[in-house]
Amino acid sequence: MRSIAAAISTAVMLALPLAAMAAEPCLPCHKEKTPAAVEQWLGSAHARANVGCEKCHGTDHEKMLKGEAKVDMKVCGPCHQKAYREHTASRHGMGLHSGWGCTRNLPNRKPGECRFCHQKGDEVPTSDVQCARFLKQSPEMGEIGCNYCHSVEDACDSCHSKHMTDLKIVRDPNSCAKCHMGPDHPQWEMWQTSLHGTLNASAGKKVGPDCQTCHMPKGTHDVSIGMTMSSGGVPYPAKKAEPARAEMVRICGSCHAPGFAKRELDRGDQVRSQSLAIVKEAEKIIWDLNDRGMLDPMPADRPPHPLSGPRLVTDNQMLYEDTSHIERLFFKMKKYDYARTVKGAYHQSPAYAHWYGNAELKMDLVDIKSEASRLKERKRGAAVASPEDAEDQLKTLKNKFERGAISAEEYAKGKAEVLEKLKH
Amino acid sequence: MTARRLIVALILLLSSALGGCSTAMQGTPLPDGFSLKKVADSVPGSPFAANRDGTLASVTKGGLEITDVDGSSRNIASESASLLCFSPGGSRLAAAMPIDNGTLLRLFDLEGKLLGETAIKERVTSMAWRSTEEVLAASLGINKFTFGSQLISRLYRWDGLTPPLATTLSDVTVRPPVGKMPQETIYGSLSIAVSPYGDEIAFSALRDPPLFTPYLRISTRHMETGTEHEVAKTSVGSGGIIYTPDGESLVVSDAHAMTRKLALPDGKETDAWPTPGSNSALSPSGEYAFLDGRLYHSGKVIATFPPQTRGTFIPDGSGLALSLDGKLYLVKGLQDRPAPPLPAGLDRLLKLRRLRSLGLISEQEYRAQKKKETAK
Repeated sequence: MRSIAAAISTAVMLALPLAAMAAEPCLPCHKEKTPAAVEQWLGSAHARANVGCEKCHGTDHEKMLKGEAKVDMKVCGPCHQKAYREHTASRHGMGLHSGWGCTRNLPNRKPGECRFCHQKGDEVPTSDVQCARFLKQSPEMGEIGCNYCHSVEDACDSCHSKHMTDLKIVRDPNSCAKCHMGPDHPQWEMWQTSLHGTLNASAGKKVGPDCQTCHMPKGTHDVSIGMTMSSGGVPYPAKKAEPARAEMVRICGSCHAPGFAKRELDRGDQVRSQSLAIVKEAEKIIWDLNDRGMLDPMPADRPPHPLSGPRLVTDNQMLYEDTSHIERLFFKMKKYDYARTVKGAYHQSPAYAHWYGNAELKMDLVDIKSEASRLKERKRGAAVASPEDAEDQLKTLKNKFERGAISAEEYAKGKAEVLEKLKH
Repeated sequence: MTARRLIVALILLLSSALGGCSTAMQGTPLPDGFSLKKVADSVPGSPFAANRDGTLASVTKGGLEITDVDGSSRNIASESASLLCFSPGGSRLAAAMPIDNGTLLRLFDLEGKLLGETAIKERVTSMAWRSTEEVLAASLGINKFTFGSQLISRLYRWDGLTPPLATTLSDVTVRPPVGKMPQETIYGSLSIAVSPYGDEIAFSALRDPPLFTPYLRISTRHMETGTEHEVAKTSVGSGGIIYTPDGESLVVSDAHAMTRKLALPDGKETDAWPTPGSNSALSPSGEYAFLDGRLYHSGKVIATFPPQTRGTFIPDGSGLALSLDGKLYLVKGLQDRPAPPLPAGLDRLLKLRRLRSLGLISEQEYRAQKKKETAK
């Protein structure tokens, strides 16, 4: 009997491809339970290199069933060291630190969420950076709407898929489009409708570069290469920006004359500065209204900001919900229209730079000024019935002084003027 | 014990011994031009109040009684009272009357007609008129638990017509040993005083921080803005708080030290009397002070009565009403003046005080503006 069993076993092993031996003893069951995963793995470079299930998933089946045997970047890193190093040094490696934040004190949270930031049994989170917009989401929206993109920080399969290793997948701009599209940063659409994109579609990659050509040259995983501003569009200081710009000119130089590339990128810089000035003008209007207690509702009268409490927030932790109308207009201006103008300019997309970006940006400022006038007019109307003018003016001055918008001398002078008027 | 405290203790001991020898008020030496006359009887230790013309309200065995300046008296209620005070105009008398489950607040006219009545669930420990139209009553409720006692102080604003409006002054839980202090000490921890401007109150509240000695926190609260400022700390068992006539200082007693005059809002000591101030009063102009049986004039003792004597000045500055051992006396001949009138630009001054309470102008700016206002 023993010799018959050994013979059958040998026959089965010979019948399977060599790679399957690496996955034994998972395959017999998983061919039935997860046939697609087995099929994809069998066609992968991993299978050809004899990298089996256990190598990535471990052997603790119990843990796998509980979802605790995540194949994260630390599993891939030891074998793919260069890619791991480049990735962790890049903007992708930071996951932009959005889609994070401790949910412990929020209502209706699910314990499973903790694994976004914590290793099992480890109280210290992997990142201490938190995202206010993530913290406002339901657990379901947080997972789909935030982490499906921002998990790129720690998950190779965010771009590479889980069991396939075919580079065709990740070299297709569509793999970037999952996240780099839509109202806040439509790089995929910008590229598609730019000369680069149309040439790529008609004449192929050699003539029309794609995302990877410029942002992952020579297969690097450092997607931040050549960037001169933060993901929120804030220009880097010269010390950081200048070498990055030189790098991007070098990348462009593989097709274009460096002088041409530099001129085009400089033109993008000018558009960025002009657009940022418009955003700053709007932001100043909103802070002034806040100083005067004119936002409707004021931060103290609405649900507190998850990270800053009952304060006005207009930086990258700004919310699009539980704000006043004018802040919501500013959110659109900054997060959508400024981004579209600037990124449209750098991606050589005239329609995005102008009509989806610049025109909207300028119209936003019109709307914001108009809303500010309305709020001021309303307050003035109320002040007729209740002469609290001096008090309001002093509150405004105090707020401006406390946030450093005016000096101690200006504050004292302003107060003296208000008190002088109070006499009459 | 510091040398200062030792001197105070010795003075207190000496004055207590001397006071004990002098129970006969009639024999008390008085300055030239002063006179002392017994005007009415009262229940020993009960409250009394003096009206602007010298009319007195007191508690007798028959209930609540009003005694006119000519000595005639009339009973206006059969119930006793724990607190009495006349309105600033002198036309109404507010009385707090203990009942089984709290306190009854009543308003009377000078003929004894009941003008208004309301019940408060807790014990009212202090009462003062904020204006001719509104009386303030501070109450203290005690909830006892195994881990300590919760003391909730509330302020009631009552116009005599509509139900009173309540706001919380303090909510504190004290440790079991502190909660077991004599009831009178605990209830005595809450007292209020109203600023002459009527826009602010000062009040005391018991505090019991772990690992520290319990104390009374003296704070002010602006009645419109609700902003509070801690002014001082004083010993548990101390007497009340008094606003000086200019409204810019408080006279705060200290059961274990001296009575101090503290500038508002920072609580800086500007004057002191070497007595605890358990029974204290200031004359309308502020020139006279009555503290634990001693009558001071411009900082000097001009007459000494038994230390347990309680006193209150007649609002027109003409005299001092005293209470001792169930008898009310009237001291006449004081050279005091009525309280200084509120400045002509009162609205602006009240506005400045409001701005100061909100922290929108500094103390320095407030004083500079006030000086300009009063110089007009």
